Amino acid sequence: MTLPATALPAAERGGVARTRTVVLGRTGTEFRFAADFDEPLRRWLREPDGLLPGADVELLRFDMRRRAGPAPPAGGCAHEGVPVWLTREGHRLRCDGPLGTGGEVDLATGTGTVWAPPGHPEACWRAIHHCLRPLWYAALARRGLHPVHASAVVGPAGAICLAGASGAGKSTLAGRLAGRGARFLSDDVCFVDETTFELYGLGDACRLRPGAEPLLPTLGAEPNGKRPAFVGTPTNGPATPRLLVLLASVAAGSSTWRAADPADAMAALVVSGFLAMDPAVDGRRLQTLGRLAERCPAIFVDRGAVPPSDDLLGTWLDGPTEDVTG
Amino acid sequence: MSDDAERFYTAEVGDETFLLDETTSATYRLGGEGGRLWELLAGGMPAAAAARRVADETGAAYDRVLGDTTRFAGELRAQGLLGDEPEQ
Repeated sequence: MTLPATALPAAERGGVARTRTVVLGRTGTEFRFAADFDEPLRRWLREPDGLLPGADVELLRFDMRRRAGPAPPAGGCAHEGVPVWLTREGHRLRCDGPLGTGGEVDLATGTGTVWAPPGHPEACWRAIHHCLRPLWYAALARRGLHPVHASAVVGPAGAICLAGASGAGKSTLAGRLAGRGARFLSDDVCFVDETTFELYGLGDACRLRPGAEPLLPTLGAEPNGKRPAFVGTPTNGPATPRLLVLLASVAAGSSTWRAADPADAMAALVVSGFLAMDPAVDGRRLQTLGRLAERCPAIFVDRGAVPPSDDLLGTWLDGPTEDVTG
Repeated sequence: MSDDAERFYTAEVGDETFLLDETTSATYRLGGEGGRLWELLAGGMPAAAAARRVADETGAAYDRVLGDTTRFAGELRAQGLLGDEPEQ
């Protein structure tokens, strides 16, 4: 007896069939292809529905394929300890990640393919986390929304943007602020509008590293070990940035915080993770971050000084107050 | 100027200039007159001429500006950001 192909899991249908088309748009996002293969992964992919409200514009259209991709190129860069290759050829941007995952997008047309080989339960998650997202960020930048490596929360007075390298404590501090009523805008990457300088976010979960203070109930560890916690009602923005908090990766100095001038703030934003991805827009991205650093007050916070700064930042979330950067 | 017009991007922030090298993703922070000197040197101007231009623009002593410019150009070349000194 031969079963119709549609009755088989996609991974058993030869591994090369188109499995799902994922559309990333301003008003809605389908991000659920992995559930076709790996039901336990569904909980990790509860994001980002309703990204970037506004005009109903399709940003990217990906074909997701359950197959192994071509061999990655030599070289590459590490992202959170995982080797990821990001390579360009003209308008085509390709990303190769772990477990044979990969993706490619044509930045001119906004279409692409992401692949995840069958046979490994984490492959779909890795494909999204390490391959689809970098391609997606590049495509958003083409549309004037430039990524910055930062968490962000929103209060009545505006957004606090928490920038820092991986491990600096962005999520931990954002989780603290969300725990006192702020709305979660984004956990790891915010997008700065190059014309309005407003912040957009994924409205996703707060993701805490193992050993981080368990301030919020979590859902269990993701494959990279982080533990997502959904708190309150997240938002995608836009939100007016009110304060840039620049988190040091290591404790330094004796002060709990200190004001940062625009150039210092820009340097910190760059150090937190400015990965050149697309020559067509990297110049605009650099300019946009520079204008953000000039327009928004900024403070440095030493890693060991996060608890006392919690109260300070809370006053910034809640409403107008004196300029602490003065 | 670089053969690749898309290799370098700059942004002025406060009184400083940030220089992005697209080929390496490295970003450099240029203080003082560094941004102006980069603009002149990357545009193909010899160090002596760039120093003269900056000295005229700022009113600083030419000899001091020339020394700073020579050192700055050497640092840029050591980083692979600037080609050989053009023929006078």
